[in-house]
Amino acid sequence: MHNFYLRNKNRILAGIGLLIGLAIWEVIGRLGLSPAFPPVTDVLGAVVEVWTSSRFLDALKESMISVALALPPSIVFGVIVGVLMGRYRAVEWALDPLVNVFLSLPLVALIPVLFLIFGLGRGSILATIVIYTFFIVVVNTAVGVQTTDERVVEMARSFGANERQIVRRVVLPSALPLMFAGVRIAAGRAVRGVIIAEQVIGLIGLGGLVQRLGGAFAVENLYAVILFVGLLGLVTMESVAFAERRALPWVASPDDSGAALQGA
Amino acid sequence: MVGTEQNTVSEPGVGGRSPGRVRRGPSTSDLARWSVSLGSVAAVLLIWELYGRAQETSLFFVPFSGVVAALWELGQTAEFWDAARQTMIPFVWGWVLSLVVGIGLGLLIGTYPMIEALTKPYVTFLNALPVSTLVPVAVILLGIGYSSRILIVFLFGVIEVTLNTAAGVRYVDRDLIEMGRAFNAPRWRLFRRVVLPAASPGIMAGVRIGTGRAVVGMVVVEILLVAVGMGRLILRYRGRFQSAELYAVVLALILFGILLQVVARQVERRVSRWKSEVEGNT
Amino acid sequence: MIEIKEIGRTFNTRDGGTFEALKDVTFSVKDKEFFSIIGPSGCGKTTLLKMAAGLTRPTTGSILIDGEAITGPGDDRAMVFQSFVLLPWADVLTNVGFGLEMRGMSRRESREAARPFLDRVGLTRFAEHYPHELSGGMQQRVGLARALAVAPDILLMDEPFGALDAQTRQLMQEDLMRLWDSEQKTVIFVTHSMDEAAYLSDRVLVMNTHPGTVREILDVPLPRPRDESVRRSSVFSELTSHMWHELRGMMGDPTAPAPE
Repeated sequence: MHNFYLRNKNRILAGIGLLIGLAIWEVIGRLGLSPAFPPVTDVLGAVVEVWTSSRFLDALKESMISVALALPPSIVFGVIVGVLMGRYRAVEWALDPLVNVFLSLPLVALIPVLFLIFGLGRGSILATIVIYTFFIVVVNTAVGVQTTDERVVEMARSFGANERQIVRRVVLPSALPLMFAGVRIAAGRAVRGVIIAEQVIGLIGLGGLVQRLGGAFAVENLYAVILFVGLLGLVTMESVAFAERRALPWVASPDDSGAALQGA
Repeated sequence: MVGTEQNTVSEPGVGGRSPGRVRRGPSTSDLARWSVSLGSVAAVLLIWELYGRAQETSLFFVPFSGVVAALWELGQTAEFWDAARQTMIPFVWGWVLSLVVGIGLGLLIGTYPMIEALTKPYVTFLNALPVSTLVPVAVILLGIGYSSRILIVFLFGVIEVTLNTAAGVRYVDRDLIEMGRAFNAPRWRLFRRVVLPAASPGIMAGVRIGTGRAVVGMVVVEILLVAVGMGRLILRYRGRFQSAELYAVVLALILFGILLQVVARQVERRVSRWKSEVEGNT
Repeated sequence: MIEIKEIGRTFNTRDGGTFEALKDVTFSVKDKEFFSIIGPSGCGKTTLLKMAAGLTRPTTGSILIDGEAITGPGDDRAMVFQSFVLLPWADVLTNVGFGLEMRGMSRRESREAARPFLDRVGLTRFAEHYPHELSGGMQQRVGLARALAVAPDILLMDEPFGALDAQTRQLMQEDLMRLWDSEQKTVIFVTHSMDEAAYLSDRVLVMNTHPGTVREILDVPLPRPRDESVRRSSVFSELTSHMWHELRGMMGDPTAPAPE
């Protein structure tokens, strides 16, 4: 029993933390302090109902189609451009300022402009996903390619490897961890992008559903959708991380146990 | 792997300073680099300009010069600055609040594994959740006044600050802590003199990324809530098909965001200088 | 006098079992003695030193200093680390004053008080430099000055020259020897270099591994003050070859190369 606790300590504590939070929420809800906090039991009751409703499933389908249409090409082109930037100095020099600007600016501010250009429909949503994801893949790939250990390249060269072999056998594998990291972040940002774009339109997809439920003060249903969107983001990023671990078994995941001041 | 983006490149400028980066030879000439970079920026602006002019009949695509001119015009109006003020006040409150709360929470989470474990479900969920979905909740909770705007900006910024601060504390070199303990340092002094400076690069990364997220929150407020500040200008120009003015407002928001990023990066670079120097030398 | 009494240390392994790192270790170190601990890696010698520093606790047994059991780090002891462990964001002088600062001195006072110790290790000119600007040997001089600055009775040194190249290492040994001659502190010195142990110590503890136990304690009958010439004496070579024989017996592979 004691051993079981030690081995699952973090999970048990997380469960306790969750229960405490939900209990507080339930009490606030029962007291009726704010319409924004209905009792958590009501929310959980709404979850099943909402998640199986056709309105919700249609919205989910809309959002997923947008991501499926925009994300893969964005990743593919991002990787291509990133490899070029990483390998060729002139390309890096030319694109670096643009990539930097796009990574520093609040991309969400571009949404009104995208709507002006692409109209209040799927085109704008796809464009939003692309600008949310493309540059992050580019910069991660480029840095991954650039940080290839020169000594390994020299080693390969000493065994008579030619340029193509060096890129295929040394540069790309060593860039893979950062490329995956870029894709992982891009996946999370794609969810962010599709939701916010749909929220601005207010009619289609999960983002639109959030806006409409909020406008109708259907708080329980709103929370059910928010819960789903959060889990969707989580599952999306975790599944990329999972693929990453499967594809790159040699990359050690950072040890995240313990704290610096422990025992001090 | 849910957590900070410390081992990845999520922000510009990080790549060049990342440890272990192998420079491909000495930079042959900075002049060449700058001319290619400037040339490419100029080319993009030129294409934008020419394409915009070619679309003269279009209401929606405006040449670069038109946007700059419109921004210049807007800058002369009291209305623009009034809108900017309306946008800035809740932003500054929410932003500062997210830094203060995020750093405090991050220090606690990074220091006490118990608190980390207890808060993990919330932090993980909020980190994965598109924060914009909480906008309707904020409105239902606080209405559409300043307080809900502050809350939204705060929610956008706080998670990244928390996560990066916690990671900064957690990954403080164990040897440094042990050394401090060997010198019989009282807990508080150990924290002040060892943990805090050693964690400062992580904290500053959190401040920089959190600042960027808070700006996003500010813009989200403007385009999703009933508009009073810059958002009202956007809405109006869109309604009247004054595309150049709309572009100009967007450009102003973007320039503001970039300006804050540049400042945050400078501060971060200064605070974390020792770290990049150490890494550059090993 | 430091008394190590029946120290044992077990760790819980991941699969729920236990691993015995140290078992029934008993010895004592006299005042002003230079005492070395040598043993193959994994024998628990560093763990033992950290226990003396009060950084970790033994599972069984106790450590007494002048008859009193230690419960944690104390002002009577200072440690020198294998990886130097300097504050990378602070200059050399602040680093040397760090121990004093931890004892409540202000930053300014501690920097002033640190100066003479910086002189002692010959780094006067480098007061305002940052650790990463110094060579490994110089960094460890800072680590040594930092330990000396708190005026400890006992100096605990954890393979302090282990990260240095051979020449620097020899220079550092000579400097440490000179410092010790003038300071007369109790030193517990962990090393895996037999030359180093023989050259510096009054006595050498040779440890067994898996679990770490006391194998034997050797007297080093070399006259003091010592200089380079003792390395060529027959006593020195007999002593080191004896240690090598002992250590080699413990290592699984009889053809394994000599450590250091």
